[in-house]
Amino acid sequence: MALSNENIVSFGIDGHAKYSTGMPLRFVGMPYPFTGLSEEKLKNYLNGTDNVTGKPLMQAIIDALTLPIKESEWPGEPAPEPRLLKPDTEDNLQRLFKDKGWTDYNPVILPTEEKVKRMLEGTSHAPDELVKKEAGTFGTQRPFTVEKIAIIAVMAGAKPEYFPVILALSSQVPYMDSTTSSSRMVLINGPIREEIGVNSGIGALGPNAEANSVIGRSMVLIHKIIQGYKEGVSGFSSLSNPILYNNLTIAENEENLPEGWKPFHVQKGFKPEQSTLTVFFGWNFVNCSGSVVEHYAPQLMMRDFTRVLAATSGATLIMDPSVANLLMETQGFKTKEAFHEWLAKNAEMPARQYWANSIVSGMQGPTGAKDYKDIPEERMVNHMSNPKMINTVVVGGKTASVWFISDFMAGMPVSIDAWR
Amino acid sequence: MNRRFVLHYSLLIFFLMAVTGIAMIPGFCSAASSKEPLITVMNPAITEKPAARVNIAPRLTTLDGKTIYLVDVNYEGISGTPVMGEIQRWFAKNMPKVKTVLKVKSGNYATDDPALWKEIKDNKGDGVILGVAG
Repeated sequence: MALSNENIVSFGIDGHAKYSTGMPLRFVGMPYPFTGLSEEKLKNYLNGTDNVTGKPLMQAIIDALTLPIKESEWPGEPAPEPRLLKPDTEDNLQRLFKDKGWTDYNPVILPTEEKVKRMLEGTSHAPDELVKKEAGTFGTQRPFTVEKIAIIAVMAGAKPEYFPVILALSSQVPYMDSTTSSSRMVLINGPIREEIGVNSGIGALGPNAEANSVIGRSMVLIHKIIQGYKEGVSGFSSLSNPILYNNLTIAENEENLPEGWKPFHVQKGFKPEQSTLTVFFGWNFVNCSGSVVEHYAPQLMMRDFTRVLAATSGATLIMDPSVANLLMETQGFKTKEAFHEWLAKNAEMPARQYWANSIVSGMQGPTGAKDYKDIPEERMVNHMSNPKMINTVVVGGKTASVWFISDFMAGMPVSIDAWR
Repeated sequence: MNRRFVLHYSLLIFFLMAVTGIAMIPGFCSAASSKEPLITVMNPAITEKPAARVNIAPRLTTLDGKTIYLVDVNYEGISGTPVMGEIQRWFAKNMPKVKTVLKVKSGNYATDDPALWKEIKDNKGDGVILGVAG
């Protein structure tokens, strides 16, 4: 089954214009994508048709400027969703939930009132409390309550003690998406890790702990149900990304940080005894493909591996505690920040490679170096020159000195305690 | 065969046909014969709210004699795409009474450009074609 990208312009018209700005903007669509195509081909697009109306493209543009607005161009008020679904058998309900796009295509725990009530015991917040209004992509209004998240938490298989974490996670919608293969990471810090068993040790990035698995799954369901993400309808990620199955949900191994290396949330201004959740977003995720060797310091390998990162001008390194200890004890990086400064100065890639990435040239190019177009292609550029854009998360079981390098940008940590 | 027998036989056949028809109604057999309970669950769906209506500018009755700005959002960060330039050439060739002004928006495709919007307003631009992105 192949999902179509034909609706991308319709989404722009319906999803963005009507539900975000309230203006029935006129969109005209030409073949997509247009990045990386020849100039001749792009010019020929004008001789083609508008993929929204089917009219000749230039006629569609002229019509957009001259035809009066019709009442049909304004959206109607959708019917309110009922609180309860029509009673049915378990099999039929599982099918319904899948058909509605409310699942990750694995069976869900059906959210009976009893189960939802029990989930709500995990928080002091009232069921009808509004969590957020602007939950949809582009900030469209999809208001949701604590009770709606309790329904989703039940579906994901959560325990009530996970609920404050899932509520904190839901407060971060809308999650960023892209037509390119972006993905996300969820990092948990503070005492709640031990309280509910979020894995920060051996096997933390894999399917080895209930809390990691369920919280990560909750994010998938929140993305689909609360944010309204549906591939081919309101989302158009050409390949998508396998990380999105669980959103890389981990806890930092704070107990095994080298001396002087602070937990991520403490670096961002929280106290160690506070519990927080941080959502990261990015594209690249690179395995170190083997572990540290004696004659090649880990920072040198990391410097070289950063040459594959180009999208966000930043990085998040996810490293085993044994690697962190090596960096601190034998290589002299007394803090995470010291290591980040070293990477910012020493990580580099050819200018040609940096600007070849359309995300970089589209986002950084017009606002980047004044003479970026004049930089010789083979000149090495520091593509992560701001050390504040680099993060380190220590996680793992100390059975191998390994790491992952990503270009993930970190959001601000948010309090989990506020949702207890 | 007497009339009573034919009547009773006919009634029996009719009864059997009626029962068979009812049994073919969807759900009848399953509801009647299945012991699977029906479950009531809560609805996870969200009701999306359209934004308050904001009118777009009144449409132009004609483009002849008008000034149309072609604003390239520089999506790829390479100083614009050939598409907007080609649109300008199309107007020059096919609708020469339309004046077009090609501009590349400053910043990247997501940043605002108040200076450009002011220029369009100050120069009494009649319409804007903004693009191209993907």
